Amino acid sequence: MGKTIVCDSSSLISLAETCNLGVLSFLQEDFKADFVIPATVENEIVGRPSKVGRFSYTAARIRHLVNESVLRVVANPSVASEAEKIMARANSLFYAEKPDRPLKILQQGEAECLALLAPLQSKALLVDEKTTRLLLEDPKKLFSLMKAEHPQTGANEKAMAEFQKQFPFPAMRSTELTAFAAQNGFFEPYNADENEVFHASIYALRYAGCGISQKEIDDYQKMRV
Amino acid sequence: MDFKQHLILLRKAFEKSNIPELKRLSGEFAGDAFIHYRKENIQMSIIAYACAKFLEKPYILADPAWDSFRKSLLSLLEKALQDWSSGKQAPAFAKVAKALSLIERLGADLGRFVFGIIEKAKLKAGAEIYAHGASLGTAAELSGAEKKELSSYIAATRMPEKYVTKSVAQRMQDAKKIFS
Repeated sequence: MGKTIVCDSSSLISLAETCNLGVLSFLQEDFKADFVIPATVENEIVGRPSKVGRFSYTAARIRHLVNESVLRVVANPSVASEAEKIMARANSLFYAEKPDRPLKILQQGEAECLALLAPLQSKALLVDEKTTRLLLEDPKKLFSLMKAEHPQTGANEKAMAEFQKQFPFPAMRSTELTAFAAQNGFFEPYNADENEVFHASIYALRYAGCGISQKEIDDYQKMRV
Repeated sequence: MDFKQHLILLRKAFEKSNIPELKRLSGEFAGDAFIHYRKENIQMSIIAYACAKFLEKPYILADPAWDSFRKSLLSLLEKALQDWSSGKQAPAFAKVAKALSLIERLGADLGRFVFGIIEKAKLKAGAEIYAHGASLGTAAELSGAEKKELSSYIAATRMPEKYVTKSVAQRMQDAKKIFS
């Protein structure tokens, strides 16, 4: 049985921009990974950008993965409907000054990813952007970061805890995905340069959009494959 | 800060060619855009940033198009303020949108530089919104910046330093479990 991993557009963008989309087919073949995207994410990273010249190359490469069944698109009305409910809940967790001024923090694509996790019995959410990841891992940290920017921010802390509980799935970033693939031979074709290429790929992912800290980069640099 | 205050401060800063204040307002307007989820705040943020950058370039100030642009922009902002003060929200917003179009039209005279400023302004606004707590998708949607470019722009800042939860070692353990 495939290990289903729901993918947010942020991670796929990072992997595409660093020529690391091959990690997906590598893990699919060697570990029976089943990479899934909801319809809105497909439109975000394939449909819409394919019509804009400067983004069309990345869109075409990702579309190829869909055509080759490396990326599986799940599109049905129940996902969209569940995503609406998730968005409504997420977008009422925090407010500006008063609870009747909720802050919109998630949009459709991110909510559809969350909506797919349970029905597909997923192993993880692949996501580079921080808000969705923090909602799963540490919503209190997200709240404190928001308060640091805007001190009058408030939160429904009970709803925050319930939201986190609803999604007991690990969040994984493109860096962990690539590092795991590296540990299992993804960069072996580079022979003696294997480690150098692996370490360089982490830097590349950082600057392509995977928001990792300098300490995390340093920790990846210490890894030997 | 309310919208009327935004208009007053923007108009004043531009009239006085106050570059630091325009840049400061650009960030503040973007933050307020997240608080109110209002695109007009983003437009104001872009206008403020673009004006700051224009004022930094002597060749732009010397260009024949500049005087006419300056007069038109000040007039639009003044009229938007009058509309807002009279309770006419939609006409006020329309004038802000028109002010942004003025800046975009300036590109016809000044070329690629103007286009680059507007795109940069959207990225800065998007990054500000992201810093306030919005997801990448929400920040891109509200600011009008492209997700891919916004993601890369944010990653090059010090923002990711704040978002650490688990250690790399823990994450790699998780990955091992996920694929086992």
